[in-house]
Amino acid sequence: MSMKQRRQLVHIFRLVMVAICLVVALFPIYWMLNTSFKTQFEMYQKVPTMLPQEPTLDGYKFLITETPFLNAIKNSFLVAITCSTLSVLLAYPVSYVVARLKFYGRKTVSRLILFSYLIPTSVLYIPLFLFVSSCGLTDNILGLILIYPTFTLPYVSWMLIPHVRAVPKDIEEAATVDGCTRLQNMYRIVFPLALPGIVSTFIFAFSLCWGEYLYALVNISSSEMKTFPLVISGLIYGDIYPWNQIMAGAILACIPILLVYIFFSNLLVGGMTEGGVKA
Amino acid sequence: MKRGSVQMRRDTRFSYLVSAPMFLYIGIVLMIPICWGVYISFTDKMIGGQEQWIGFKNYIALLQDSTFRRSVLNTVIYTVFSILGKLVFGMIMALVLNFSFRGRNVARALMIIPWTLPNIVAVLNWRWIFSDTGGVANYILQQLHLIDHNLVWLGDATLAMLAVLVANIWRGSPFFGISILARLQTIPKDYYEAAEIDGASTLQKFFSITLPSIADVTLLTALVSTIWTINEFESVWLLTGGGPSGATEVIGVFSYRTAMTNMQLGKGVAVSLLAMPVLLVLIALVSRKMLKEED
Repeated sequence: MSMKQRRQLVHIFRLVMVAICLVVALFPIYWMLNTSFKTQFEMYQKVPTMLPQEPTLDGYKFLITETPFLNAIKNSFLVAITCSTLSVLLAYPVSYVVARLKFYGRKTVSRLILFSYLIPTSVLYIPLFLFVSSCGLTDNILGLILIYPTFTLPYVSWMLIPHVRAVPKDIEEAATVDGCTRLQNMYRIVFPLALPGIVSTFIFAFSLCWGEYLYALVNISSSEMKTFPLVISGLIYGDIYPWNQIMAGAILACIPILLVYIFFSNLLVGGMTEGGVKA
Repeated sequence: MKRGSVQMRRDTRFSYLVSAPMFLYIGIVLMIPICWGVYISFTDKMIGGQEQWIGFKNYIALLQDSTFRRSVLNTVIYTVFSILGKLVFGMIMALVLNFSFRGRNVARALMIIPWTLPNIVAVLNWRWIFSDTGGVANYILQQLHLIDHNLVWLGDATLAMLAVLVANIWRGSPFFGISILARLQTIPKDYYEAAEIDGASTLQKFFSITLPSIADVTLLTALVSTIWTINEFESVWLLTGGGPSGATEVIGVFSYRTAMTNMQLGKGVAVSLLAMPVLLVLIALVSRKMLKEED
């Protein structure tokens, strides 16, 4: 075998590997789409059909007209947008000072952020359930808005530190010479320059709230307050599950996230590695 | 020198001032409830009831409860295999995406999609794929002649655990993949070229250049992922509900059943708190690794 043939063979092998990875990653998503356009009858046929034989929007129609799905999407959106905005507003100054200033207790502050970021929700759901009920906000999306920042705030502040640090220091020093105060430096100079990182962090915080299940499950019971994870998982009851409706709901709930993701893809992949786990 | 410390004192005042709102929020909504939770775990608090101090009774009852001990074992099995799986598949994904080929950016974007989906969507989808009536998993495995009859995935102890693991690994691997990939792309090309001149094989190059370079980031990613996997609730709850007969009941599900189904809030918190020592060790390890780079 010549060197050239060997190269070609290696290249083909690599492409096959890429293809396998793509199939593994995407087949379940294709299956979700496929199911959502099937009738209940076709879905449970003995031999699963790789494409819907009689494509139908029944699943979507039922979901939208007969379940509180749309209202749930609205609730999820309200909760997610409020919590992620609030988190960026409150956390940015903290990230800024940790990244930029030398002050007493800086280490303790960053340790505190990391600790609250790593504490898992399953440790907190009972205390937070009691907290929400003592605020009189049980079964109210305001209760969720109150407690979701317990995971988005530490997350956002931790992720923003490297983004702030990536802004060149000289720019700030020049601004200081020109008479900018710390507060002006923070908001007028560094904030716009760190904006790509801030946007990507905001999107991640949004999607954390968007799909949150445990806190919603514990705190919400009435149908007009439900967020979408509760509505879709609530369709699983009885003997025959309406998977076409469930998958229709899953697809509709993914679309906003996927659109944003495709739109900002490069930004997000960068943001994910810069902030999350860096070495 | 003197000027520096004046500057530092000013910066300190400024820092605390602008950080105050967030820490006030975290203090009230996170720290106080945690402390309240610790207190509750020493009481017989039921949903809607008054609590009474009962000392270590919840903890003792749990340690003597064989269902609880089984859930601890399940959690260990689940966590170990889940992390291993994500590590292997994440590594494969990173290595594959590190090849140069046309459309690499598109392939990268597509491979991360599972991780961008809300977990609940991914889990429900896998429940449907593994369904014993109409599920596509059985169909595909039969077409490949790997099985000769339909398996009842969620009704068999081992298969149910496998199904939960597959769902969790499918969604979690891209996170490992992307973290490792970012590190891979910083390894200078000349390392490999030099090794090639010395006649190193592909495997030798992998073990002596690639693996040592990504060891650090891989370990960190694995640690962070372990913290969250130990406390997994929704993947298991929505896929198997902990069944069949407790075979996939991890501590997250055990705690939920105790607190929400049986309404024993105090005992439910005690379950989570019994996992805390392990978590605190992991958190300390992660902090040390992450903060070392900080200063």
